[in-house]
Amino acid sequence: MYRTTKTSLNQSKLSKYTDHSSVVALRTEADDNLPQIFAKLGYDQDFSLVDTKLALGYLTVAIAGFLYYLEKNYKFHDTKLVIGGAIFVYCVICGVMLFLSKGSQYKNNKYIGVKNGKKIAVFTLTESAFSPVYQVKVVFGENYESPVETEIPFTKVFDNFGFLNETEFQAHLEKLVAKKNQ
Amino acid sequence: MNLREQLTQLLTLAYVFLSAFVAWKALGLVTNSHSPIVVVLSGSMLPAFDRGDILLLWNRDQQARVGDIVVYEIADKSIPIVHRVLREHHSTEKQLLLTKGDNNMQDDLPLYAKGQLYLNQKTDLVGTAKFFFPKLGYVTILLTENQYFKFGLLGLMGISAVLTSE
Repeated sequence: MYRTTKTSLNQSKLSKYTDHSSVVALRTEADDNLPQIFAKLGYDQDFSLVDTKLALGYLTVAIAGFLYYLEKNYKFHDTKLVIGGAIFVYCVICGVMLFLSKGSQYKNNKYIGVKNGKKIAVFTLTESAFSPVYQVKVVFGENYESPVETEIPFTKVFDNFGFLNETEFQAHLEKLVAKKNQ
Repeated sequence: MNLREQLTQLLTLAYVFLSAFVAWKALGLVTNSHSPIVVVLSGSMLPAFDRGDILLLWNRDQQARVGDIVVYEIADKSIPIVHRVLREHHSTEKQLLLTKGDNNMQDDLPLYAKGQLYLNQKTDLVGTAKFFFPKLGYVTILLTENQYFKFGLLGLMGISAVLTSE
């Protein structure tokens, strides 16, 4: 279900209906809108982390395909060492992917952008599935020790029908980014 | 939806099968068996095992003992057979086994390949049954033997996928 929100009429932008009784759905919708909001703030999205994870993911698919090929074409007892090696490599890659998803510098990372050569990393979460507050943390450059943080109640950026008010959302994020300069 | 999102979704879907398959291969390495879990398909081992029981195999024993329940494969027959060791002969180099289903009238000689009198413990065994889970594998029997069940399940999965995406 789609409709044009009042706030985005002039942009001809369709806002997606979100189940406003689900905190996870609201968070996902807000996360999905981060790239376009930051694009409006002048940031270019940096896909290097996403692309690395995708490349590693598809490498594990290739390893599984290789194991399947071995199973269909060779006897198990002739290929045990190769199977063991392939599973070891698979586990190492999964470990690296886990680090890139759950490591302290990567956990809950939803957006990385660059503006004038300066990197920005945005981390978002909700405390629980019953806490309708969007917690946003922005790290500038590699300064992970002192991020800028804010809490945005979903009631401030979603209307009663579950449509995201992009202008309001953008204003909150703009204010957050501006905090760095203060 | 952009290409990266599509690739990510495809990867997430692939991982459902991928992780299960790699776990299966890893279990095969640990147990030294190309098929470490098998489903009992016939009633030849009643009352010990019934159709649909799932067996966990172990293939690192140096020798099988009389009374062990083993799973073996015969050349050119794709379905593994779960039967009990009835007789064994061994030297320092190899062990020969004769097997029989508990619920069968005679030993497995007619089931073996033409001219084969015994099973070779090293080359013919898939593994020895160490644990079993009763009836859990019956769904695979239903899937292979009952067309109505197979297509009914596929239909349910399709409806579920459509409703979830809505």
